[in-house]
Amino acid sequence: MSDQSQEPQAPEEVEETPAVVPLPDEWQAVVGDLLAEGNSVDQGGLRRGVPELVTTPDQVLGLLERLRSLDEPYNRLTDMCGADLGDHLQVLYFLCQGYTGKLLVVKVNLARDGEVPTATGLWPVANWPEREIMEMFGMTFTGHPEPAHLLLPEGWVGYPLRKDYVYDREHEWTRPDPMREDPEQALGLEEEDSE
Amino acid sequence: MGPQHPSTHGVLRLILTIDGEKVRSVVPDIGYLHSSLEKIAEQLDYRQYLPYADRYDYLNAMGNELCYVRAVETLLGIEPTPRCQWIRVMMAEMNRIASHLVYYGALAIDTGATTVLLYCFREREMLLNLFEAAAGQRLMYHYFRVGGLRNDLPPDFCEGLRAFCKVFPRMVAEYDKLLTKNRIFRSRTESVGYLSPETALAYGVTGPCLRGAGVPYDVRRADPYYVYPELEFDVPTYTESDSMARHLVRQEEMLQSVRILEQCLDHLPGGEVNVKVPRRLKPDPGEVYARVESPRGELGCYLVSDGSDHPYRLHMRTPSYYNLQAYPEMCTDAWIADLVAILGSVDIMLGDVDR
Amino acid sequence: MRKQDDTTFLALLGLIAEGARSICVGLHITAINFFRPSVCERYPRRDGKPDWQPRPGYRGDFALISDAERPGGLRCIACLQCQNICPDKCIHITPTGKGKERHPKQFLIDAGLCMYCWLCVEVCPVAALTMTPDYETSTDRPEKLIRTLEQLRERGKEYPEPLKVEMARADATSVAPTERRGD
Repeated sequence: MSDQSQEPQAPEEVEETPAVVPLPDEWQAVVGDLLAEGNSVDQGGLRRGVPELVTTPDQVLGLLERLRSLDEPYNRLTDMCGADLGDHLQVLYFLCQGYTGKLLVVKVNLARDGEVPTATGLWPVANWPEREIMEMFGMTFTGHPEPAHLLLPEGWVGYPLRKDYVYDREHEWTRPDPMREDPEQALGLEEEDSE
Repeated sequence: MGPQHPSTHGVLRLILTIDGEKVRSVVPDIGYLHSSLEKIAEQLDYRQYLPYADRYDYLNAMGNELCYVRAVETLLGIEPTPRCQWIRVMMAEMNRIASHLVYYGALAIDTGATTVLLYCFREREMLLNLFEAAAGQRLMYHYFRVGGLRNDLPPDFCEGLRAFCKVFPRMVAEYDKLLTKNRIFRSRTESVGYLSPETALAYGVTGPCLRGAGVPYDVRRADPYYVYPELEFDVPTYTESDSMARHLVRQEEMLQSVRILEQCLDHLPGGEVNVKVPRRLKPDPGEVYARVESPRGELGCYLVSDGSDHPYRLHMRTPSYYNLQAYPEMCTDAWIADLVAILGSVDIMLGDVDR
Repeated sequence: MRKQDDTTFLALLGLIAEGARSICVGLHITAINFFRPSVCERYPRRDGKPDWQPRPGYRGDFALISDAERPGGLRCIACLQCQNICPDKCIHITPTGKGKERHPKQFLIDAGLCMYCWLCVEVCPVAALTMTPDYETSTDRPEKLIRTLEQLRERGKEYPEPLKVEMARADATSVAPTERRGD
């Protein structure tokens, strides 16, 4: 909790050029100390005025908890997903302010084999998304009550939603499709001379 | 129970712990329909992925397309023409009715009444015929395009829809008498499957399940898109939080959708439906999160672009996925016989759950 | 059955009366519907009338539009745009000929993979490929679902022009197809 980070930024409505807008003061006061160091959202961030906070794996639970106990709390976890950003992975928490339409995104950057504390203690809803992210991206949610595969069969090799995932035919579960390989041969049409 | 059980609305396996006829715990086992639609998106360009968006919630294909198209258009900075917006809203509402009709009939089957399903499908047929005339297919419409629609409405579409709007409220009154007021059906659904607003909040439940718990949350009102601010409609809520409340919410919603459709027909502006879009869709790098209200709840689409012509990352927030997670909560201390009725009233769509 | 139900005799009697009433209401509605015109149709029809036909613009089986002027007798110029846009990669074209003579030597569509999204029809610059309202395409073996050039040509003879509802072309400009070489 030491780092008073360098200007965490949350972009506002971006029209043409991605603008980097400093975090509003009220946000800075509430959660400024929990945000990641070197937090730069220079890709334009979420459009349509959705604020976004970037933090580190060890700060994320504190941040979520604090967001939950604001005067106007972001107390509804509406969605969670992961993303593979090449050199690191990312977990996104989409929070809603109760049942108003106000949305907030918390992003956690972590190494490719990194660990994030589970949010199931705060929201039981995080159970399935976390399991899905675990099996799809290969990160670990520490303290998760049942870290088994959710959508994929047990024993699946690799993490499919990673960018470097190669579908391994050794582990092919379905019938191979000759049509995709060589349709003419599959149909028994002989190869005549091409043009 | 399952994976191929006649009442699970798809391929869902429920692992039950029972004590006599009492259910102690339910663990849904999902993933049988998983087809990695999110990975497929990373290999296709923005236009090619649209037909796949239909495949999430196949009873609400228009709503899924709407969500995806809205995300892509926001990313590209395209604003569809007014006529296109009205038609899209109209299609989404028609699809909401069609989806609720399937729900209605399926719940009737789950609780032991077959007749209602046939009547529901008769009315749904009218809608499917309209969809077929406009989009060329009856279930996987692929009618929306980035920047517009496949084609403008066919000439006799509006008359057909008006006829439907005229006849449909009478039919809903009939279903109401036939099913909702039925003593047996009421015994099967009233005070069964209790879901408190607090549990709903903790589990991220949205849609009719949430409105049945007394929370008037509807993305069409909370985060209005397209022409919804101009439309007059109510968000029905019931506070009983049981299966019957969820059922009544959906029944009321069908009538509200008819109201919306009538307004759409009255206000449908002329003009073009398509705006010009570049041949290759290459949005600037950025991210977007678009939300729409699907018949099952809040449908979100998180889309990341890296500047190339295919999505860098696509994630759909599918309502059934989250609603099903709350299903074990609704089943605490239920009877085995009620499981099916509760599942019917949650109205999950397994394509939406497994993706 | 319900735990909160009152089980006194009178309450039970009331329940039975109410249940009987609901059954009567239900039967009444069923009787009304019995006299409504039937919406079901026998398939296949046996009374000599034609079977149900989808509306034009329906996305059914494929056809290649004929053109006697062109080599190969088809309007298709083998520009491979449909092959490239197909999300399922179910179209395989072997082009032959150069410049204006370019036409498909083989044109395969795997209808088993296809999801009938209409993108290939939409992208075609010369309106040579179309989907027809033929919906009776089921077979007993997956190989039979693969449409070859001959089958597409045969089917195309029934359709001089693509059937479509007032089509909206998303992209007006197109690359001159004859200049494109097969990928």
